[in-house]
Amino acid sequence: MNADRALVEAVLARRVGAFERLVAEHQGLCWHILQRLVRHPEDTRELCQETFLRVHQYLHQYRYESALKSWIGRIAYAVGLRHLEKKQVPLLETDTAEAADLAVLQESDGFDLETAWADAQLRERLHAAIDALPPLQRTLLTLYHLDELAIPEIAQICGLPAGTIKSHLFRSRLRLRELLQNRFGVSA
Amino acid sequence: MTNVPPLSPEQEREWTLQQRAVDIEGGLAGADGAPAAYRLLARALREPLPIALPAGFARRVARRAERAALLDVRWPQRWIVALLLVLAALVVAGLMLQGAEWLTDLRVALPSLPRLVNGWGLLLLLGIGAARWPLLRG
Repeated sequence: MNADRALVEAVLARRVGAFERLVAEHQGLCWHILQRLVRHPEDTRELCQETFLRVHQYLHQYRYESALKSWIGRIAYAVGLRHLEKKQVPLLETDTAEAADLAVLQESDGFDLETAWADAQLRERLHAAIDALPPLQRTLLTLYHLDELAIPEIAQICGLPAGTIKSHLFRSRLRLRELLQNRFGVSA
Repeated sequence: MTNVPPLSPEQEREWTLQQRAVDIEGGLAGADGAPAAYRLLARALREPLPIALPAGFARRVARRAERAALLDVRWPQRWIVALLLVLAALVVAGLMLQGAEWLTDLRVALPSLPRLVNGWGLLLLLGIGAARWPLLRG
């Protein structure tokens, strides 16, 4: 938090290079949020830029109540959501298929994980399956796994209850496991 | 959309398996106890996203933000200058239209200037000033 305060104060005092340092520190998170929400490369770039212009404009309103990372992430998420609303892209599927019957998901012995991982085609299809998830779910998965944010931090960014985040993570991973097993034959 | 029912006990057990896979792939736990599919998934989800950040993004955005902030400061200053110019133009226009009349009033008032020094005279001047003020403001 002290590092956040020092950086924010440097930006507000218009010290040379301070805002560039702030962008460099947080651009990865914003890029992930926006890329997962909107997918389109050009839109991602423009929205990421818009996010940081807003951060610069409203930084004086930041009250250190949450980590700077979460505050900036929340702005990126709001910018991405507004874009999806304009494009009329739903954040979640309206027809939410119920999770698969857990009893079906049993694995056979002798499955070689490393061989499967070396299979470029399988990895490509797995990434395509992740990409095909609804915007909210693929964003939550990326924040949790790639950015290694804790569920409460993700809840601050997305403005959703922690239990809802957990439930979305659970259902997305279950759905992808089912896909791996049934369609790609991972455990067959 | 936002409220999703909590996990059942059976789902909680599945959640534990999912988390075990995350720990294994993050090097926080031994290799046993998680389904291979979850481990593959955890590995795939830790991989960088397909589109990378453009090079020099932070520098470009910072320059743009600083330029925008500079414009934000300059615009109010420009507005103030513009308003002062409009005010000056109104004063000039007022003098051109009513100046002769004000001069006549002044000439009439000047000979009796000594009498204005007393309280009633000052009150009269204040009254004239108050009556002319809206015209001066345009």
